[in-house]
Amino acid sequence: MPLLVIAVVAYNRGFTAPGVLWIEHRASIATSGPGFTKLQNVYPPLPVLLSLILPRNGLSLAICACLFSGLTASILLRQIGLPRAVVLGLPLVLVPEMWFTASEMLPQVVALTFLAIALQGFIQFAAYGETYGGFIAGLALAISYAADPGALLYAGVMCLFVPLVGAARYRGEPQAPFGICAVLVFPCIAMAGIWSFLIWKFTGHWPGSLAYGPNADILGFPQGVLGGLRHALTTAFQDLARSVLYIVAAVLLCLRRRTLTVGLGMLLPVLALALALWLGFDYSSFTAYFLLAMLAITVIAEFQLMDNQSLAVVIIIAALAQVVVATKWLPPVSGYTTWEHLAFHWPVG
Amino acid sequence: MHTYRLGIATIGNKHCVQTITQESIGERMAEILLARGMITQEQRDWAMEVRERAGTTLTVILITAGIVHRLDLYPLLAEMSGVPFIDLTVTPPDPAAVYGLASEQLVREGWIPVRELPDGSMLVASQHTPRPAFVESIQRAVGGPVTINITTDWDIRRALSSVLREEILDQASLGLWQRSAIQSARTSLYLRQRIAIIVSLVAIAACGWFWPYGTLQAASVTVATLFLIGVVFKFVVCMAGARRERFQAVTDEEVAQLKDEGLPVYTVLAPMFHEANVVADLVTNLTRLDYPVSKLEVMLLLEEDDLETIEAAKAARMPAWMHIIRVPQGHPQTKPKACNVGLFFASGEHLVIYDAEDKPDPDQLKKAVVAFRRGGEQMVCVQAALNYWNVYENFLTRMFTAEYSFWFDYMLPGLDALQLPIPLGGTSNHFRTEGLRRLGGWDPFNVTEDADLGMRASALGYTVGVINSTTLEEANRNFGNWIRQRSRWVKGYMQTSLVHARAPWSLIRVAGFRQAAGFALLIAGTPISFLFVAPLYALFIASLLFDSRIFNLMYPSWALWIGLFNLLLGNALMIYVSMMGAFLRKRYGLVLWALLNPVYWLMHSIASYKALWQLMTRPHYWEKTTHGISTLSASEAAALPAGVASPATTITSNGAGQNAGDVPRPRLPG
Repeated sequence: MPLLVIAVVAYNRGFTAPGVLWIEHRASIATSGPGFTKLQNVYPPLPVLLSLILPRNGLSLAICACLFSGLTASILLRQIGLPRAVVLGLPLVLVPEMWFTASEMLPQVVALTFLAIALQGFIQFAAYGETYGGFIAGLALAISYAADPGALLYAGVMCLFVPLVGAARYRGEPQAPFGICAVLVFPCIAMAGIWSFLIWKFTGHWPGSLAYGPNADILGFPQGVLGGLRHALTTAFQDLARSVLYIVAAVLLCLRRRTLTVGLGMLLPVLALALALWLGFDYSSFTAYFLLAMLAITVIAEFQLMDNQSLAVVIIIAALAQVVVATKWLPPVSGYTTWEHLAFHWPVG
Repeated sequence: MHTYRLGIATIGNKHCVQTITQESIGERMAEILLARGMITQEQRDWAMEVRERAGTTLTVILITAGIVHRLDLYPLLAEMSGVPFIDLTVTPPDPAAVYGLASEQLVREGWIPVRELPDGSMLVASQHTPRPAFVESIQRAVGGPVTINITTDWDIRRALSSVLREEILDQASLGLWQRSAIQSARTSLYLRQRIAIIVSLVAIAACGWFWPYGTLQAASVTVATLFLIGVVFKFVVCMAGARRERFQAVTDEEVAQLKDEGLPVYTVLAPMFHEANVVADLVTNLTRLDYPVSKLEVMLLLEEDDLETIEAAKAARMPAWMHIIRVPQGHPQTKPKACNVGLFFASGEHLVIYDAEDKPDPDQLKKAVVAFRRGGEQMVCVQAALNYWNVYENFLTRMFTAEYSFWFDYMLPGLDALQLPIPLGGTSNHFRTEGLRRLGGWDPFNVTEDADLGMRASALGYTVGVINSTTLEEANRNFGNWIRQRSRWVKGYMQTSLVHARAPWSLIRVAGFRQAAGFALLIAGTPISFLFVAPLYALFIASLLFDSRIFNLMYPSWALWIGLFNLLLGNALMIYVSMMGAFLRKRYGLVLWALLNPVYWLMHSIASYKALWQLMTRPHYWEKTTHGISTLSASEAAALPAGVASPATTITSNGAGQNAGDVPRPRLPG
């Protein structure tokens, strides 16, 4: 509800996020030609479809983003319970940049919502062997792909986590991790294949527009291949540095498990973020922050790191520290400064 | 404690010499057997202990355990009862003496009139001691005084088979049709159904002639919409099944709590035809059932002209609790007809069907008993899961396994969870015997009699459940054999659809709209979708070869979207559930094979066209599936890497590992 109020206020004061404008522009293209001839320009299909269904006035998509954010919050709440959510949710709830992400960055929010669902299913599937969780994880990743191709990377990261999460469950079944990975990534790859096929079939062009978002330029390498890699790694580790809760969770896990493997495993999402940025996906420090916070919450809940009182205190301190760090040092994304000004400063005169 | 009068049963009311209890009969019999050296002291003690525990008679225990032959025991029983023993192979019953009697009573009570004696009484052979109430019942049935002789249960069954041959054949073949012709597939298409089909085809042809473009659009959209509904339905059911993954229909604790004395008599029917090569395997597999043998009645249903299988069964050294029932020859020569013959003789409270190559989980019967007790009287059947032991033999066995894993581990539990009608699988369906009789038994003219029975049960307001137990079968490894089997299944679904569509309003009224819709989507939808697979694939290939702009011109965008959804997402979803099915069964090596499902579905399409042709030309022809063609021995199958434990269970799995000690399956040329 507070997000909705902020979104409406910002809209009433004349703000429309660049991402939302971009989606609405794509929806206009989608309806400008016969049949499927414009398919190559309408990725990501899920936000574009929402834009086609809803009034194209800037506010509708912002409201959609708020609703998806609410869904994500409820998923996390169900996963970890209210008391823990109050603590672990601080880095998301108390940081204005996250309010912007949650209310204005529709494709990213949609993708992250389904990623949250996928994460929950993934744990059920990989750790407890429940195939219903596998269904949920695979399908959620596929839907996530329809909002953000970064879902392919998320799926890859989950596969890398399989040996970590499912080690106990599938001991003595060497083929099991392979099976888990196959059923996790298949829907996402199928979705990518289907979309590629449609573009190729109905437009004659493949793979379609790779600049699917304002900041996306897949395989563009504007800073060169090596230069881009250096920049991507630097940015991703800076984003990691701002995710105090994630770092603390990784360290605590290492200490509890008495092995470095777990900590190294926790680096995988950071490397995936670097890869996403290097390849030219629609990467922003806000979504990286959101993603790492969500992963941290999942890890803390799954490995019951807050069950120990002293560890719980450490985690609470980490959560508060992250709020401070993020508020001070999280670099703004396009449109954020204007939004902040319009949403939180009363117009003068 | 029952009290019986023993000693003599002769004419009129001149019986009742001494009064003893059933327990004392057993004790006396045991003492006599011991005194005559026919059993040892240990065997006596064991039998008495089993009798205490299982609550059956000493006669049954000693015979089923193979300690005393029935030809030794029944004469003793006769001696103890003070009546003569009669050997019905030497003195066969006179058919005229049986004429007019209720055959069900003869089977149920285990007696048969032999001939009229000179003194005017009827000589009756009985497998039971002549208790007064029993004798009075026989007298009432015969309509006069009787002289009782004792004979063996085997003699009674054999004599009844012989004397009642025509009646058994008639009941097995035409029983359902005579009772309710509308429920029988004896007539495939009623006149009104023929008229409706012809009128529809003419109307479509006329529309195609006058409005070719519009008709094509309407037909395409209709087909696409049906596919869409079918895909969504299957996916929703599958997800409902997946949600119940952790749910155990029957737990091991519940099975452990069962006491032998409380268990009902269970009849196991095993219909076989030209399957001499797997008889010995079946005997071995059935002996592994965890159920007191004194309460098991296993009948191998063998066609009387199938001498090879009969000889193989005789040579298989079956335990005494297994019997051969010769199925009278006659049209139609189908598995359901054989099963109806078995049902005629069945004395168990529950009954189950196993195919010749089946390897049921040992505790399956007990799980079914728990499920029946919990499900109440309305639950007429429970279905166990089926899967395969020769998974990794070739493409077909792999695809078959993935398909069955999806069907039995997701779809059937999903249908159960959503309370939709469950089409029974061909084997491992357990029944309440009386409920099955009330339903009219199997339709011998329907080539998927099992699916039909499940639907009939639902249509009549009964329920069908599923249990978390698995029967392993042999997957079909041969293309021609597979097409024959699958075309029969698809033809059976077509027959079942036509039968239950004869009175659609009645179906909706009795079963409800939800059940009727479930039936339509599952039973009618399956053959229809298979029939459309080949043309749609052809259309897809054409679309790859020709300019796609033609589709933009021919179809409205929304119709194209539905078509594309079916083609791409629909196929992907069905592949995905197949992958998950393989995963659930821990067949990790099969997960990627599921990607080849489109090829497998094309094979289904070929089979469905054969089925359609046969429905028109030979509707009741039973395409026999050849079993025992696997090149793997059971022990080789056991050595394969993937486990086959039932999903979400802690059952004593009858998985590959359990069969490590099997007699090797005979190797036949591949």
